[in-house]
Amino acid sequence: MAPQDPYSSLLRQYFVSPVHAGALRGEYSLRLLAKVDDGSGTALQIEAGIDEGTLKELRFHALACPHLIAAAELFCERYEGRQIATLRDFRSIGIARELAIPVSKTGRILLLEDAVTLLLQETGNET
Amino acid sequence: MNRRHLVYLDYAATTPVDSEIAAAMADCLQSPYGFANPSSNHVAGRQSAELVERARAQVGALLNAEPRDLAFTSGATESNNLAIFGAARHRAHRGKHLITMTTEHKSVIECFEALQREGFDVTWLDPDKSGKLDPQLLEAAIRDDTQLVSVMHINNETGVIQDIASIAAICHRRDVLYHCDAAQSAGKLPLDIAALGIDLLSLTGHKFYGPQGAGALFVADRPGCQLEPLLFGGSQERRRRPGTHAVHQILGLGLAAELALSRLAADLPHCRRLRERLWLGIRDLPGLCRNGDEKETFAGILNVSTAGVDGESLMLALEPLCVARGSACNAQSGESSFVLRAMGRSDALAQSAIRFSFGRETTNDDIDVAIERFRWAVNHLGKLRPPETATATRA
Repeated sequence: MAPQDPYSSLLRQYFVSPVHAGALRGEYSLRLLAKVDDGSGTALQIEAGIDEGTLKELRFHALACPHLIAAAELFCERYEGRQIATLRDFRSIGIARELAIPVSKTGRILLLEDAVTLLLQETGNET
Repeated sequence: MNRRHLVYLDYAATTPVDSEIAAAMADCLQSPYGFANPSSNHVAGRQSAELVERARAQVGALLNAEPRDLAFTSGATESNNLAIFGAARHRAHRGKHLITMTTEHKSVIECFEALQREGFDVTWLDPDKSGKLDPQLLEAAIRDDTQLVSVMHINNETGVIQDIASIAAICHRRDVLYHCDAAQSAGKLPLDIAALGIDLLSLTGHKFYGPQGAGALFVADRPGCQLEPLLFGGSQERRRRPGTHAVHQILGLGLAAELALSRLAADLPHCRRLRERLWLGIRDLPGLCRNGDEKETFAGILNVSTAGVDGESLMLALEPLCVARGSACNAQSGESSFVLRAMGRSDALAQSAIRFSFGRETTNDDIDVAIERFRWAVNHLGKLRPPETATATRA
């Protein structure tokens, strides 16, 4: 059986042009940083700039596979401008479906869910 | 896609079939006798058999081997299986100790693992940090009941060249058979089997511009060097490998061997120039290290690791370059390179390894595209990296 391309065109797009990669650029009343890693080299950091309960700016750094990089970028794009409380509804499986990540590789983006949970804990909005 | 538009730097996985060889194979299939079964005793069969024997002579000339000592197979994996299972089982009554290396190709490693399950005792030798086998380590590992040693010539991931002359000499002195997986070296480096004293040698045509699906196993004609066959059902290949010959494939293998012999002197310096050009173009990148010493590796392969970069992301960022992570045969597993780990590289460095491999059709322009793309990819992933994991470490 021919190997299936594990990367959808949307995933490739987010991987190649992650506009939310890097550090926060603005000034905010609250800055939060969530750092997670899997203990075997994969690491993800999400930084949030927050004003009045709104995620004004989201940025990430990742030493990770393409799936997690693309998922982090999509997360930042999707949640920037939303209320912090909306993070409670976040599930990585939704992003996995959107990026057409093969089921066998969805475990790789659980770190994103861990990072979001950490952000919520930092704001006292844990679920 | 026209292959001229590809930047194909994966010659260690497979080489493009030489266009004249491809044409000759197609002619063979369409000729009045090329389709005939070489075992058939009629005029078409005999003519087809002549094509097979001509190819056998061509492969023999490449190796300085007697053509009758060559058995055609489907490729190096089958040759390795036949050599290792065949020799181990044939000599099992004399002893059941076998020796190989942890950095062999999977088609060798998995044979030895299977033989372990059959009750054979296998000693697995580690390379030194440069990927080479210390011959003294081999000498010390050989026991009275040792029957077979299998050590490859050129490593498929790193290009590290083993000292097969010394290995063969040790094996002969201790009356042990020596099998060499020469999938990466046959047709690329001069090989003189008669002078080297190798007992069993595997090769495959698709690594030197021949077709996939055609290979050979050399079996020295000397006492004690016999094989139990893996397949039964015919007298082809002196009963070592029964089955109807794939005449057009074998013809392609023979022509590739003939072409390789005439091109050896030109191909090697060409690869060396390309590798140097590539290395000079990327060596200043932070965290980059070369796997395998320059002087001890085959010029057609450059294997590099980059600290603080994920290997899978690097592969994707390198598209549309056709390069490899580890070996092609292991590419789907996503595991870090067991070869590099055996050489003492950290998991992270082994996981980030990229193999560039070049050949006859590779141009300076291909290399320049590769340099540009590799630099972009490493910089791109470097910008994504969390600050505290940023590194300029050289391993």
